[in-house]
Parts: sequence; C-alpha cells; structure tokens
Amino acid sequence: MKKTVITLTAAVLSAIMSFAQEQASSSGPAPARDTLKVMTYNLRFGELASMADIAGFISSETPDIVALQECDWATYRERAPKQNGVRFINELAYRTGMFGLYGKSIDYKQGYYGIGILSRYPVVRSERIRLPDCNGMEGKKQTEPRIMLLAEIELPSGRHVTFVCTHLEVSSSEVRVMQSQFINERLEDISPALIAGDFNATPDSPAIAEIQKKWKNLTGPDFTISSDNPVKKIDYIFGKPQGQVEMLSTRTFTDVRLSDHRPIISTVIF
Amino acid sequence: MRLKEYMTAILLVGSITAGCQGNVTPDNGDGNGNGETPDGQPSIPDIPEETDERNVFTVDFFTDLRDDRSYFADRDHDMAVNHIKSQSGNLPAAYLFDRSDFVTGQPNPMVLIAYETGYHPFFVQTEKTSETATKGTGIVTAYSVSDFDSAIPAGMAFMSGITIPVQLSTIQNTGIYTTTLDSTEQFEGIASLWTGKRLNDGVTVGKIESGIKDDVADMAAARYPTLRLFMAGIEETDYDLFVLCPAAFACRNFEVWGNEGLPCYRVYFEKLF
Repeated sequence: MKKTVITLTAAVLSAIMSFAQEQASSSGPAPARDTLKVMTYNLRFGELASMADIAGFISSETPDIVALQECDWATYRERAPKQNGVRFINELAYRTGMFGLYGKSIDYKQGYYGIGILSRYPVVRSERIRLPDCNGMEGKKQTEPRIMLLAEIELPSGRHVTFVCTHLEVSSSEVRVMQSQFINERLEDISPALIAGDFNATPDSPAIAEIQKKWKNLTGPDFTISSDNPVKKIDYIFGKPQGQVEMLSTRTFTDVRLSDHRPIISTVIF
Repeated sequence: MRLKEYMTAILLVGSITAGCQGNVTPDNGDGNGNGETPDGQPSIPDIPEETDERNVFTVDFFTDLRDDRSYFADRDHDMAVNHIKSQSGNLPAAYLFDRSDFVTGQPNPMVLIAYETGYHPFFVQTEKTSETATKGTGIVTAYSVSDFDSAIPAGMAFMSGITIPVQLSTIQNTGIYTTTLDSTEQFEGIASLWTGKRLNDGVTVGKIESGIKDDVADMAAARYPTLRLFMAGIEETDYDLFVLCPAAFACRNFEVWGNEGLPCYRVYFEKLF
C-alpha cells in the first residue's frame, strides 16, 4: 500500500512538473481575455409591452451587447397597435443609451420586420447576411426569408469580437439545418465570435447539433418559451472558439413577461 | 451662411477640380475609365464639362473643421434633426456628423437624431475604442443598410462607410465613407484601399489637417493618379474638407450649407460611369 502511494505521488509530481515546464516554455504573457455580459431576447413584435418597459428591463441588467429578434421598423400591425410606426431598435437605443443596429428581414405592413443589436461599444463593421432557404425549389416548403446580422465590435482592450444576431426558420427543420450549416461555413474563419438569438430549435434538434459542431453553448437548460408557461428552450447564446470561450454565469429570466419568450443573459469570457 | 466663406469654398473647389484634370488621356476602353499617359503612368478620363443631373447625389457633412471638441458640445441635436426634417426634393444620400463622439453609457448624438428622424444610425470611430469616450463621425441615412464597412489601414487612419442603394438614373449601390486625416501616412493608407479595390464603389468625405494638405496633393498626383482628390479650406479652421473617390465619381461642387449655428458642407457627386 505504501509503495502504491509513493508511486502515485511520484506520478502526480511528474505530471505537475511536466505541465509547469510546458507553461514556462510558452513564451510571453498569457493572452488577454475579455468579459462581456450578453443578452438575447425575442420581443414578439412588441405585442405585449412598450418600448419603455423593454428598455427599462434591458437597462436594469446592464448588458454589453444585446441580440433582439422580431423587431419592427415603422410597421402598422393590427395586433400591436401601440407600436404602429415605431422603429424598435432606434427607440431602444435611445432609451438604453446603447448604440443600435437594425437588420431588415422582410418588408412588412408598410415597414420592415427583422432583428437588431444593441451595443455598449462602437460597431466597426456590420453586415446583414441572408440565410438560405428552399424558396423557389420545386416541391419544397416556402418559408419566410431569414437573416443574420453581424457586428464587429472593438472592445476597450483593443480586441475585436464579432457578435451575430439571428432568428432561424420556424416551420421547417430541414431549412433550419441548412441555415445552421450556412452559419458555420460563413463564419468559419471569424473568431472570437458570439452568436445569439431565437434558433427555433430545441437542444436535442439537428439544427442545434449542427451549430454545436463549431460553437459552444453559453446558456443553461431552462425553457425559454412561452414566458408564462415554458415548455421548451429555443433561445441561445453560443461562442467560439470552443476551447477559449467560457460561460461565467447565465440566467433565464422566469419573472419577465414582456414577450412570449424569456430573455437570457450570460456573462462570458473569451 | 457667410458669403465670404461660401465664395472661398467655391473658388477653391473650382481651382482644385481644374488642377485634377490635367495630364490625363482618354479612357482605354476597359470600362473602368482608366487610361495611360505616354510615359506609362495610369490615368483617368477628364470630368465632362456637362453634368448629368440624373446621376448626381449629395452628402451633407456637418463639421467645424476642427478636432478639439465634439460637434455637439455646444449644440443641441435638435438643430440637426430640424435640418434633416426640413429637406425636400432630392434628399442627401447620407448625413455625416463629424466628432459625434461615442461616450459609453450615454446616448450617442446619432442615436438621438435617428430616433427623432426615423433614420438608420452608424458610428465611424476615428481612434481606438476607449473605456469611456471614443472620437468619431456619425452617419445617418434613410436607406436600410446592408453593409457597414470599416478599414484600419497603415498609419492608423480609421475609415468606415455604409453601402446604400442610391437612386440615380438607375439604382446604384454606392459606398459613402468618412475619415479624418492627420498625416500623409494615413492618406496613403486610405488611398491604397481605393486603388486596391478593397472598398465598395463610392466616395470618401472627411476632413484633413490643413498643414498636410499640400503634401497630400503632391503625393496624390505622383502616386495615386487614378483617384480624384478634392480639398477645400475655410479660413481660420484647423482642417480642410477632404474628398477622395475613384475615377467613376466626380465631386462636382460643394456648398457651405446650414445656418450660423450648424456649419455643414453639402458635397455634390456625379457618378460618371
């Protein structure tokens, strides 16, 4: 028994020394890391709350970057008359003091319907990228055009992070997988990066499996829809490179009823 | 608008424009407007005397032509909102607001202007991001923007811009970029982006430190003959108006615009081909 303990101790010491030598041989200081508080929230075109209420909630959580889905731009919907003519991202940016970026998915009800990003830091580059679908293909289901909105943000550390907001197809699993594959390929060379939004897919779905080939989940397992009677999780924040990005904390808000979705906020380091 | 300033500006643009038209040969027919001088130097075609009004667009550049304080330090953003809302007819493709600095945690002036006009806001930083405040130029436009590009070339000149579908004789995707130049190295960086075709087809509108204007003009003539450079100064300012574009565009004119409290330069561009 004594001999076994000595052998084990020697092995552990050897491993520690080997690790220390490895660390010492890697020259220079440890790479800088940044911490960000990231939120995602599907607003359900403002049917259930005012922009003032939503902005108040966002401000109270002091996120650095927010991904927002189902954002109208000067539409006139019968189902959300109090939001008629409102440009969601402009008003939320105005009320939160953050910078806003809007991406149109479709023309809708005299305005646009799409997604947006709020950022505490300047956006140095952005791009609205159309996601693939089967529209126009014979025998395939026609679906609503979808996009991802990409914002490259320069942080005070001088490092850049690419933040992407998206809202995947709702009714076709086949299209969602296609969109996930496209996201992986299109953002293959971009790192570090975070992608957040409504993926319309549960954690065990093929679309999420596809995303997780390249991205690390930075949210918990809590259900996100519906807000008052949650039955599944379809909202996420992912990050890459998978080996570098880590989730320090996450919270799915169970007591916020400003939409049919529950918002998520995660503090991440990369 | 002070007449003296207006006349100075127009005269300067006139003389610089005329100067840019020397030493050029006709288009070589490659569709890019590029030709070649007898000594083998690339060149670009003259700007036609006649303006095709169908292909003219404007950019409003709000600036003090200084760099010592925010444009909105002593001005209310409502003045800019009123200016934008009062426009009619052929509207400017974009409004640029020099030194609309980004102060973390406070509403950016572009956000306020965008909120009240319904336009889309963008921010072009002209220095590295800081924890508290970052210098930069704001852009607002009525167009839904697909791309907002940035570039940080040699010399650490920041240049960014939007690409928007401008209504000319046909709808043309046009890049509208802005920058602030304090050194000839920064100009080289910006110019090489254009000659390297790393930007969308379009124009740069910004400001240049007055002391380097002559050196930049010499450098442009010697090393970047396929670009069109326009600069114009206003008395008693530290910076001059700066316009740089590829051969397909011409700066036709600019006016000192706005009112006493809101200095603005309206730049007229023509898409030539």
